[in-house]
Amino acid sequence: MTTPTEVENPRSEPAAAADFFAVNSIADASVSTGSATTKVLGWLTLAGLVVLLVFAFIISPEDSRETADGAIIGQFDAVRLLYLHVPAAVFAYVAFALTGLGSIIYLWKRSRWWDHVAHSSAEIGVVFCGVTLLTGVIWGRPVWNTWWEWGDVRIVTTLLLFLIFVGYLAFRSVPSEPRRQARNASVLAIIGALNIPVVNRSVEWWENRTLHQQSTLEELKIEDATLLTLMIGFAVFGLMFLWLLIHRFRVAWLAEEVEQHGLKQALRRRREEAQREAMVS
Amino acid sequence: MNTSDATPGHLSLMGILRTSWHIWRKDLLIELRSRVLLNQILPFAVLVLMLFAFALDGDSTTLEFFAPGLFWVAVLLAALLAIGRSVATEQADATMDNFRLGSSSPVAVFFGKTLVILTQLLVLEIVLAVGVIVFYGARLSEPLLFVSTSVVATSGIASAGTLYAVAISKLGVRETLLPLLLMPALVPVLIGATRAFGDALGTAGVNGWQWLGLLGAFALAYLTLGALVFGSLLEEN
Amino acid sequence: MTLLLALFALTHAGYLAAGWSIGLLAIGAYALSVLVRGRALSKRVPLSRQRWMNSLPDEDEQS
Repeated sequence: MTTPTEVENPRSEPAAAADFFAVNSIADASVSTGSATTKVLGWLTLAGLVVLLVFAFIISPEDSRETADGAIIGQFDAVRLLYLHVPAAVFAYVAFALTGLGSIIYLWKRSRWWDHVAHSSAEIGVVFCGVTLLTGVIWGRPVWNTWWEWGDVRIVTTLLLFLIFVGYLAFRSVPSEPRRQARNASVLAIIGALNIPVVNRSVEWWENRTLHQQSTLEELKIEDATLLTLMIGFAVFGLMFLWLLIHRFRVAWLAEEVEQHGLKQALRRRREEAQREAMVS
Repeated sequence: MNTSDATPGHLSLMGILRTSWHIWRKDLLIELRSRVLLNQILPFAVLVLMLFAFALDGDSTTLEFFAPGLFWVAVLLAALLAIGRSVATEQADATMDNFRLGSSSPVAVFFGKTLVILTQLLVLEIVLAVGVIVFYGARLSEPLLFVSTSVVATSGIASAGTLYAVAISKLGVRETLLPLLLMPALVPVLIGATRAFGDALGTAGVNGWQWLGLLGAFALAYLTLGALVFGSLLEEN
Repeated sequence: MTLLLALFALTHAGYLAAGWSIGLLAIGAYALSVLVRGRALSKRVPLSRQRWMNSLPDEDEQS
């Protein structure tokens, strides 16, 4: 933003800019957000997913146990959904925490780099959070015998968290002056992140009838294979999150470049054309 | 906003109070002239009470039992209009810019704006209270809890509302974006105020004063947060 | 194939299939959209500005 050629509203003529860039595109250059690192990460994630599927569906046992009076209870095969649900939930929360952290650092250092991290992380967090909610609803039907339970603290908190960051992304999707947007989005993200414990507490006090497992790890009566599968799930989602974050960050970076650097080029080209016209005439 | 160019008087507590008072008076004078609250927002809130009665089949037991929650949902819906209106007033005469150029402290602007919305919503709540008593048959069993819950919960709504409204004030889509951003943040207020009212109106066997504590913490947190970050929201690039 | 066969033998097979496929498809679709956005944008930015071609981007000089 320190460039002297800065224009008030860079988005005012998107059609003209796109036209210009189409002519000037570098045809044979590498044209993706991929790099050696992300390729390795990507293949590791895919391989990990296959391993996770094998463990989730074949190697890990179903969840069942005998009660004192001989009845067999448990989640049975529905437990296999948790190997997707729990890692997605954990990394959704990680993503939102990173958004909060990035926003704090942005307000402090005013570095666009951290703003991009915050924005990218929030988008991935919303996707993971959506997956968490969907798989949670689908899991709840056979296990709790209900799609949704308002008395459960965690699902209500997660839904609110999802909506808070959908709002954040909605705010970011509205074109406005980049620095004001980054600043205000940071404030929104920090308030949003601070809301999580408040919402969680108040929902818990609201109805003290939590259905959710107090601690998932304890409740599952962890056998080795179950725990191992869950750990594989965390590892796969960690890799996936990193891969998505790097790619999404580069998209944000490129979008900023297109807006700023591209404008400089357009001006230069305009100048060259003017000179050529002057020479011809 | 750069506070270093503010005159020392503006940074003092008295200065902040004075500026807040000025903003409060100015906005209420504008309101007295335009009558938007009186002619539009108040009737709308009463209309919402009527809609609930239709949605719940006009069942008097149900309406009395759920009166606390319905009251606060009506307040939240009306608050969206009032908060949007408050920022629109700023946009119209660009007072926010004047205040910034005049180097008044952003803290004062934040408190002033919050006070304006608080006052308007409290007026609205008096009407709504009469509404739930008349239409829903609610009974005031603890007036003191009723009044203090109203004031404290509304302070939370007003401070959070001011914060969000100013964060998006420069966007063309602020009317549609404000509910999406503000409502999830106000869920704790809705929960707490409904519970406390449940005690105050004698429909729920809970200790309303404990919920009042949660509401107080919420309001205090948003007032502090607003005082801290309002400067960077008003900042001009 | 074994995965598919195993799936049929499960209790709540429908819920399991729905949950996993919706979840993975959603993430996959999102990943694809990021890649597509990245490709479209990188055509419009000179290679010298795509720093990950050499190394990861470091602290933004515009901060």
